[in-house]
Amino acid sequence: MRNPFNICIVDDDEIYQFTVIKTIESLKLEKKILVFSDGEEAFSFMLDNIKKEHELPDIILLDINMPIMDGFQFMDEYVKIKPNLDKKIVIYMVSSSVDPIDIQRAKNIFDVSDYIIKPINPGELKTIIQELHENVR
Amino acid sequence: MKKLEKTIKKRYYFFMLTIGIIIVSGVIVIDNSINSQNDDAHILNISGKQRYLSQGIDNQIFIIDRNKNKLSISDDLNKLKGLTNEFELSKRYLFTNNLKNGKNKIIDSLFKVLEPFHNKIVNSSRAILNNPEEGVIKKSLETISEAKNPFLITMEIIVNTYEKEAGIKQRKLKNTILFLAIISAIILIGEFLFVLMPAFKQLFQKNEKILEANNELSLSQNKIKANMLELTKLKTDLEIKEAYNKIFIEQAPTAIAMLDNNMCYMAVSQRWITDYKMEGREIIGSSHYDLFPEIGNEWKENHKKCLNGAIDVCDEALFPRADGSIQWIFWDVRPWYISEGNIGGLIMYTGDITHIKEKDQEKARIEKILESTNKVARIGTWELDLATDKYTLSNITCEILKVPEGFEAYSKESLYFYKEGKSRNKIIKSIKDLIEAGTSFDIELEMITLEGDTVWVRKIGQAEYNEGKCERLFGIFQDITSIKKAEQELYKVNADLKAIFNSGPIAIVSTDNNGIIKHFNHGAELLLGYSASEMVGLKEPEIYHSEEELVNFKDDIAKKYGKDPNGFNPYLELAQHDEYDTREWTYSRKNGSTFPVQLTLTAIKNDLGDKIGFLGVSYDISETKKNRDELLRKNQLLNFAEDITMMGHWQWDTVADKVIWSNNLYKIFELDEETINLKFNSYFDFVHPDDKQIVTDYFERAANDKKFHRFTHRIITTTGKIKTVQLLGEVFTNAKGEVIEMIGTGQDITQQKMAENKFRGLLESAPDAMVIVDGKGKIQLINKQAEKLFGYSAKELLEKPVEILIPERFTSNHKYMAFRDNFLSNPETRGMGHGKLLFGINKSGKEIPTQISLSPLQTEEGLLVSAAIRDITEQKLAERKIIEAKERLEVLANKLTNQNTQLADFAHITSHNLRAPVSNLNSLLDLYNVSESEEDKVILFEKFEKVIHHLTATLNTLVEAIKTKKDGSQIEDVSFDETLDKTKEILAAKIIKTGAIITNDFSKVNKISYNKIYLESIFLNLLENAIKYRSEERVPEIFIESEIEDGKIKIKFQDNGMGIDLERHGHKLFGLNKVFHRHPEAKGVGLFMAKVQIETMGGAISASSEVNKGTIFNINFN
Repeated sequence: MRNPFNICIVDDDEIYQFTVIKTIESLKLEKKILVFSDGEEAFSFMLDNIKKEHELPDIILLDINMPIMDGFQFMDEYVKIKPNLDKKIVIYMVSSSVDPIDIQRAKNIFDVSDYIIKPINPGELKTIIQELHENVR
Repeated sequence: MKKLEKTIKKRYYFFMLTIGIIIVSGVIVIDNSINSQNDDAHILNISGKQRYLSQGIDNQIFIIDRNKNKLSISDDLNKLKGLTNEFELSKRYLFTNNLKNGKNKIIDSLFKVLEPFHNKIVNSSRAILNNPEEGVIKKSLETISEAKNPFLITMEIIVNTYEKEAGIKQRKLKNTILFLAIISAIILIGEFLFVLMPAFKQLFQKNEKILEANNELSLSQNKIKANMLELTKLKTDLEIKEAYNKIFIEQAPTAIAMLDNNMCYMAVSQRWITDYKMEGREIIGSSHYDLFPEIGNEWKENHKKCLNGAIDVCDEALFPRADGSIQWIFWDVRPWYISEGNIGGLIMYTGDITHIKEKDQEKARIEKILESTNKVARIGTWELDLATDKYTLSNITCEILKVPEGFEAYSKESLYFYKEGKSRNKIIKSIKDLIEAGTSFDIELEMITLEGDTVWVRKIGQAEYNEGKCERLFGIFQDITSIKKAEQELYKVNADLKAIFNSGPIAIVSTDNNGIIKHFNHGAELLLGYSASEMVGLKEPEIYHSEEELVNFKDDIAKKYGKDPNGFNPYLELAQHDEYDTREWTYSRKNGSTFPVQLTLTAIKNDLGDKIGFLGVSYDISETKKNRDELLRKNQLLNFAEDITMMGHWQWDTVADKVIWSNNLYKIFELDEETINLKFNSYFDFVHPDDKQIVTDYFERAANDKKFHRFTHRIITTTGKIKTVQLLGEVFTNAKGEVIEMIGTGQDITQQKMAENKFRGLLESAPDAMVIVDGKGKIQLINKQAEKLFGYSAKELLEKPVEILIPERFTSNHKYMAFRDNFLSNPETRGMGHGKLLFGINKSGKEIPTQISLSPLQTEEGLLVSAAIRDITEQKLAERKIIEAKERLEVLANKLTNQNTQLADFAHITSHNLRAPVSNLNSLLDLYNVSESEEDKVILFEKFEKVIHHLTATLNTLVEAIKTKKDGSQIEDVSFDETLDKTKEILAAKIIKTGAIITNDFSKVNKISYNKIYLESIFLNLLENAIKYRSEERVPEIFIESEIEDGKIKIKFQDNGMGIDLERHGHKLFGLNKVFHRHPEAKGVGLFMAKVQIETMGGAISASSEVNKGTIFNINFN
């Protein structure tokens, strides 16, 4: 059975969640969308499913500013468990912050593929997801 | 041997017996078999005859038949009768024989077959005989011819059977004989061996014995060989002895000559030659009378007698020699024998006793001398009569013991003359031994004379016995005091000498004339590191001398004796002059190191005064030299020091009023060094007239106190210069306490005095106040500035502790004491109280801010510390103004920084908090544009509403925050408890709902000048947070406390809520819209606003927290 294509959204902003889900849904891909309101929820999920390849996300759209565990803190924890993950996960940091410090800091993290400034362009998002989807197939 | 013979004989008999038995049994067996054979042959014969008989019968009957008509028939009938009888007899014999010899079944059966045929033949024959008629004959003939054939056949079979039987028997016999023969042979061989065994045994034994004998033989052969060797040796010995005898004679110490029968010399001793002055003459082989022509006939006659066996002995006789001299001689002339009774010649043993004759006369003379010597040698006699126990002493003995002549003593009393202890014990034991065992003695004793002097005496004692009883003791008594003394002296000297020779630090080395070392003592070994064994007889002392010194030595000695150093031998020269040389040398040790020695070289001479070597005695003077050098150096140093310090020393013998000055003292007084006979007044004359009284006083005081005190005075030198002199000294007294001497120094301190004056001037001219303190912290000197500053006069402060000038609050501080001690123990120039304000205190008690620098001053009186003190009152004032200005600037800068931070915060807020909803709006708008269903659009509108609501809220907060910054200046007095009450009212519902317990303590400070609205807002936010983020497990407890510290008002909000992980969230705790809990009401506005308000008012807020324990917010209102 082919693994489902999992897209994970980590953001406390429900409007953002809503818009991104809508955008992804419009792609009509065979996929599963996971939504977490903060880094800790997402991280707990990862820990719970660390060996379940088909449950883990293929792509994470990670917000920076979140309660409990923010995007950077999530990355700190993620790096620790990464060697135990059997799946290659692509992570995009997505934030409304245009603070160059935040941008630089995000880009300095090796495991972060790119930094996307909100509002996320639906076209851009579609391209990213589609490309990745093709690669995974 | 006999035993063997017997054994063999016995065994032989037995052997022979056995042989006999074998032969007999063999004969029996053979005989038996022969008989049996005979029987068999007989039977065979008879059997054969039977056949012949049957045929005969047949023939006879036939003949009868033919001759029946004739008369002669009766003959024939007779014949037949005979034949038939025989036939019958034979048959019976065979029959019985067969029965007799064990029935042969075959034969038996054959006989049974034969029987009828036989009977037919017999019966027919008998019938004829009975009736010789024709018919009968015919019938018989028929019958017989009928029976004849079967009979013959059967008979033949019988014969064959017999033959067969005989053959078997024969074979049996053969086997039996063979068996018998084998057995016999075995028995015989066995017995033969049995007989020979002892013989063999004997043989082996014999063999062994022979071997042994052989060995013994070879042994004895070796012995014989050895004996032969010995014999040869003996022979050689004998020959050698003969030669020796000759040699013996030749080398005998007496005059012996060996002559042959013709009175010719065979051997002669050397003594003979010398006695009779025949050196260089041919003696051996010469005739006695040729050599001694002076021998007269009388002697010749005697010689002849001797040659016939007589012995001629003469004790002394005059022998006038041919040369006219006269010799007294004795002789013993006797023959020597080649073999018994066979005289080979004469042996003459003579002696020249001329000198003995002379000695006899001398002896008398000597005895005379001896007698007188006895006296001189102080030899007396003593005698003890054991019966009376009384001593008789000779005059000399009395003299020795210093008792009157004719002194009588009993043995017991005499003991007191012997020194108690060793000597007395010795004499008691010796006398006892003498009496009891007759052991004579010769002992040395220490005695005490009657006058009490100690004398050494040699006492010899002997005993006289009469019939085994000791009656008298006597002996010699000699005064050996002087000898003993000399002996002891000698012993001591010897011991000393030995000690010197062996002592460590003295090297004694002697050489022979060739310069080779002969003795190398222990000291030399120690000093030089060479061992005696590697030096003696091998090396020359040059090995440890330096060549340069040797050359110098040579030149030196040559110069001394005015000789040319070339080819000069300094040692020989010294020996010739009988002088020794002592000087310093440098020796090199074996390891190469060098050291100085003092070496004394002396020639060693023998009895004749010839130089036989050299003796070098040297000792290590490194230490001496070092000390000497040191002394020299010190002296030099002293001179130098005196010179530099312009100091001289003096020595005043107060009794004789004699003064000695050192060179430097002369210099100081500019007095000619040749001036002698200095007295006290010579010094006193130099004293400056104004100071004369002081000097007189001082010296008087010194004499009284026996102690010299330091003092200074002025002098006028010979050139008229005025100098200041400091005197130091010491007073010496005799046992009675009277002053006998004073010594001391005199130092020219004129320049010092001037320097002191200069220093004073310098001190006074210094711009700062100067205080000079000694090592104990006592003030020694202050200048005018110091007097002015502190208000004390110099006199007032002299010898006062420096602490008088320092406010007590500093001096009582232990830090001050530590600093002081540290400085004094490690003095160096330094400032005091870096960065701290130092204060002095003046006489009127006013504190003066000062700056102090300390510098140490090492002087002859010890450590001095000079403190330069500057009044910095004005400086301090100026400084304060600057600091104040600076502080104001800092406040300003802080405010600006603060505002900057706030501006940055705003930038962040706009970048995130405003951009996020706006971007959401954009996204929603995009979706809206692409949405197709009405349903979707409704949902999107709901979302729009939400975003817009959120945006509005954020904008409101911002507006409020900006407003806060504007309204910061509206300040009024606000009380904390009123504000708290108001807040509680607002939150009443929540408080009741959660049951929160809110307590407070505003006792320390309850009022603050602040923006009232802000304070209310801060209280509300913090209190609301504390309730909102309460722990689910606990009833919320909130405690608010105010306090004042350094004039700043602070307030603390403490709760027991959920707490915040500050490590993770601390950096965004007070950020806008930052939330840390998944609390539905968490908006991230409260703390943001509180912070904005507090900071706007110039204060600060901070938090400390522990997760699940609680949080404390500290507000510093400033």
